[in-house]
Amino acid sequence: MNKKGFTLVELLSSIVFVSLIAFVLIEIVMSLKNLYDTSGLKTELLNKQGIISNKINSTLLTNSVVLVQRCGNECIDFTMSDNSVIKLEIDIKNNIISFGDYKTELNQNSQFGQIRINNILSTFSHPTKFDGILNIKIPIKSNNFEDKDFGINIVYQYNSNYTTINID
Amino acid sequence: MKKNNSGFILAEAIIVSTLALTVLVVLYTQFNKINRNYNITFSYNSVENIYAANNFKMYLLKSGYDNLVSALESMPERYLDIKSCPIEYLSENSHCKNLVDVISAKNIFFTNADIMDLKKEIENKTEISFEMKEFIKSISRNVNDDQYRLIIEFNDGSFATILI
Repeated sequence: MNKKGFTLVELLSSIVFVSLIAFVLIEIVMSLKNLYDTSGLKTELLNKQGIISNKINSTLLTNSVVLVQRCGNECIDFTMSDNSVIKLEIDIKNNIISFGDYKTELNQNSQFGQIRINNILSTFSHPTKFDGILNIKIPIKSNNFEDKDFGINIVYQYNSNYTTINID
Repeated sequence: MKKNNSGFILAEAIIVSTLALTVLVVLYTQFNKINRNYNITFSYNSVENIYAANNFKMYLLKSGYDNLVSALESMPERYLDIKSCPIEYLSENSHCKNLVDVISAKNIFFTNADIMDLKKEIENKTEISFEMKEFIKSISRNVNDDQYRLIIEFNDGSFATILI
């Protein structure tokens, strides 16, 4: 009788064992590949979001804003107490945002949406406390992360005795 | 008849299989941990959320900070949940609610800067989500007795904390 070869049980158990190892390894490799593909893009988008947000927020926090008004569809002028004007502008076609002297462009896989501005004024009035909230949303969408918004959400609290919002 | 001595006995095969599988399982679980921590870093203390927390801090400093401090010091719990803008502590309640809505806050806790006691206290609290507990556990200790802290959970599942 030919005694070379494997028994059926040996074959089956080997196949099951190898399949299990292959499955686990494939899971790990697929996750790694996904991480590799997305992490670079995600990091870049979040960095951009952070830099733009920091630029706008820090300027608004350190300066006294007396007037906020639209200067176009995707343009807002901030007039400070020293009469200087800082323009926030989105060039949707070229994917560029500018705020004062600062300008940056998004990569080709992401795009700006339209600026959404909301001004909420409370019913009370006080000489020093905040009674208004200006909310400016600048959406940033990416083709690689369809369900996520990497946009900017600017929240500016003000006292209506000192700051006028004219965004209609 | 000559005995065929090539091959492995069953015990050897089982031992090797078990070892290999154990290594794979450990590898997989550790990798999942790394993957989870990688995703978490994007949701903790982002620039956007820090500024949102800062906005709430600015409001508190003008409208009820002293009341909150007194209330916290007199309570047995080590935190105050102020997401609903409780009128007994915070003035300009309507502005507060608008602000909470605009920054998309889901939960706002006011607590001491040194959160060691808070970490112990929240362990068995079922009303606090697991993710919130994990975030609080990740906050480093600040032993300054004069300072307080805001901990905010946002609607998108991200978190931020800021000292006051």
